[in-house]
Amino acid sequence: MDFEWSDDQRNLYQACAAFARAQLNDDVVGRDRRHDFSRHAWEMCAKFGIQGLPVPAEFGGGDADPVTLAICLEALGYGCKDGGLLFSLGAHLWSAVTPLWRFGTVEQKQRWLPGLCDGSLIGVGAMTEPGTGSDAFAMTTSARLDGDHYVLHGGKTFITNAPVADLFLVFATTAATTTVVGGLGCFVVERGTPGLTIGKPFRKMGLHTSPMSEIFLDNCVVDADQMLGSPGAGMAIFNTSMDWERSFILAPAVGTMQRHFEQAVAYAKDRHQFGQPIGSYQAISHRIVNMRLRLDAARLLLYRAAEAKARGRSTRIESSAAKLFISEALVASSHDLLHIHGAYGYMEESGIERELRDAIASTFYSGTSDIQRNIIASRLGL
Amino acid sequence: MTDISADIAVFLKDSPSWADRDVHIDSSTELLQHGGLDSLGVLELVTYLEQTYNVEILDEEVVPENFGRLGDVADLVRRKLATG
Repeated sequence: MDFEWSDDQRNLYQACAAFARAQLNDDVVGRDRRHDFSRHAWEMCAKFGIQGLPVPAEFGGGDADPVTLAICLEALGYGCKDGGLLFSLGAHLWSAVTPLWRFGTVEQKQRWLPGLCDGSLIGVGAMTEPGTGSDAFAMTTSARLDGDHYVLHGGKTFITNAPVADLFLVFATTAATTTVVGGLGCFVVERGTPGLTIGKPFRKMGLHTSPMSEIFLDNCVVDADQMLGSPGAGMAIFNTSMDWERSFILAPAVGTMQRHFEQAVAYAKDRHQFGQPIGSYQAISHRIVNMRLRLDAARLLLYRAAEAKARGRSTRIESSAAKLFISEALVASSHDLLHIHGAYGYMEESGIERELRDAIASTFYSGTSDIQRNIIASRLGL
Repeated sequence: MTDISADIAVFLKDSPSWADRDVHIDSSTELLQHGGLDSLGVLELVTYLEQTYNVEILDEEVVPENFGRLGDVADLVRRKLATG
């Protein structure tokens, strides 16, 4: 067992972090205040290759293996302070790119993946409905086969990227006579399709630079060849994508926690009270040690999940454990950083209060912490 | 029924997701038709198969072709066991 990265992996990390630090941090405080999504930053990420990282090169992607993917995303979170952008990239990668990459026909991949990789298309999955959430499969949105097309009807909510997205992967029930396991489909719906309406952007506690809204489908007609996978494969598509999402959506958070840790150490050495650097007081130093322990454990869980993915193994426990632990560690790390900086950290200009607001959502999205524990328990036969 | 199919039938009869169904179970039994296994029931079945037969079933394989009928599930397990 080798915990050291190779020179190539270290160089890759440094290059990604340098890119993110130089290109993605323009006026984050102001954009957060204005709830502005940066299309420019999105395009810069695409130019660097982020949006297509796991996609085969023949469809415009970077062909990155899962460990390389984790390294790039961790570095992105280290360099980039725009938590909303990181979240939008994750929604795009795991709920739009991944289903197409894993389940699309060659024609579907050729049609949409190059645009999703080069930044010209923004994608997102649409699963959650007003009456569902953790009970994701209890949906009412339907898809009725009518000749050579499907008619979609219903509505989805909490759809990340929806106000700016070009491509929606909509999950809908396809057959009233089967359970949702065999009667769920996933449909690629392009922006501008008659019957598709995008709601007004929500105002949220955090992740302000990541737009989110409802979408409405009013007898929205799509060609039959816009359905992904075989008929009734919707649950497999959703579960497969969610497993990738749980494994990697918080990879940037590990980089963010590394940045928090370094910032806390530097401040604890520099800030003096009662004639001593505050780091000399155990109330501060023990808090920083806890930040370091959580960071180390989070990184190990992330790369364990990535390594299992690289071997093509089922990763239900590894991915849920990574999602669960990293999200809760991120909240704790952000709170510790705020506490160490005191009133200075509470000020908007510090950026620290924003990072705490952004962090809190991580324990809800992609399945709450309770749902992750449920998944792990079920895998233990409990 | 083969042994694998019989084992699965016994598991289903004891499963909370299936127990209240008063139907005979054999290889041709539809598992996903209305009133059949819901998402939790399928997850329980997957866990049972993995633990009983020491096989790994990926999320991508949980599709109607492999879980539509009890016999399809048994065939999936047989293929897994054959390929090691």
